[in-house]
Amino acid sequence: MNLITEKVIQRLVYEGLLFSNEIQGRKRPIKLEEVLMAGRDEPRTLEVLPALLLHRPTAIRDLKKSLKNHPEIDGFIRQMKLGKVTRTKFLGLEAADCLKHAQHFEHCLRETNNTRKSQVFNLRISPEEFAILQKLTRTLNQKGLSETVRYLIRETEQKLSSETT
Amino acid sequence: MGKLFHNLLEKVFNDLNAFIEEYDAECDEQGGIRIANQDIKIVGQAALLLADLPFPLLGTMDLDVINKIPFIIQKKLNELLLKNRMYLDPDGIKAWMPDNTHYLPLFNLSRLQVSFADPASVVLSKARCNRMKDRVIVENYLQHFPAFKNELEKL
Repeated sequence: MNLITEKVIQRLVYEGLLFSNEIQGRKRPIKLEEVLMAGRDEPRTLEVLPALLLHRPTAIRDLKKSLKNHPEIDGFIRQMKLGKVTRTKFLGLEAADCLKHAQHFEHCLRETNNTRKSQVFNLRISPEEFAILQKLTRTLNQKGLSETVRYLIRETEQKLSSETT
Repeated sequence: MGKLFHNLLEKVFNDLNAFIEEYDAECDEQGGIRIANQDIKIVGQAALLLADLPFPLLGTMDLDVINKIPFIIQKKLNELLLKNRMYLDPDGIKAWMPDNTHYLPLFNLSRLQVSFADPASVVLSKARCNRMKDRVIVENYLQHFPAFKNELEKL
């Protein structure tokens, strides 16, 4: 599997749009062109693309600019936004399947927003640990300390879960 | 990672089993129709993810169950899957599977027997549907299991 396909799958697994038997989820920036390239190896990446474009557009870099080069994708997304999809195919895939995934993804995001609000905690850590956390934030290219803690929780949980099985 | 998917489903079906036990206990106390023991047969991409195949596989978040299950179980299963960002595909029952499909045991719980279709039958079903998204899977499967060509020719 080439590196671009792997990167795209990592992001789609991270977003909760795909399962993979080999690749773990990672929050990596991706481009529309890269998703289209990955679609040649793994068409299921294209099947969930409308869900990502509609409900997590910030996951894709320079989206507006890229959509100008792909009017067929732009047109399909516009139809979805209006709830008036007339096409039966999206990039050679069943449009109905793409719609089903997008509706489910929207539902999940709504549920997450309603039921899983993040909570504020006061943590007692030493200045050395704080410095390590700051260093990790830079190394892992995270937005802030909270994002780093969330990343570390997810990674450790996944690691422990695969060790115990 | 295939193990993660297995663990996720294990939790979901254990919770579903507990729901049936609680529901029946309530029926015994207050009166009502108990839920019969349930068989759940998983097909589609989820069955392939469970099969631990030697090549990379992707699956969308839907779970296909081929046999009919009571509405109350469907509803509860969907609710439990949703907590893990998955959903029960209402079209799962429409899937075509070969007559000689074997269902491999997955979880044997007090009120639920969960099994998944053998990978060769799932890939055969995908080959018959001939969808663009499944072509890579059929090719990969043939590459790793060349004897599968005979099955494909029978289609």
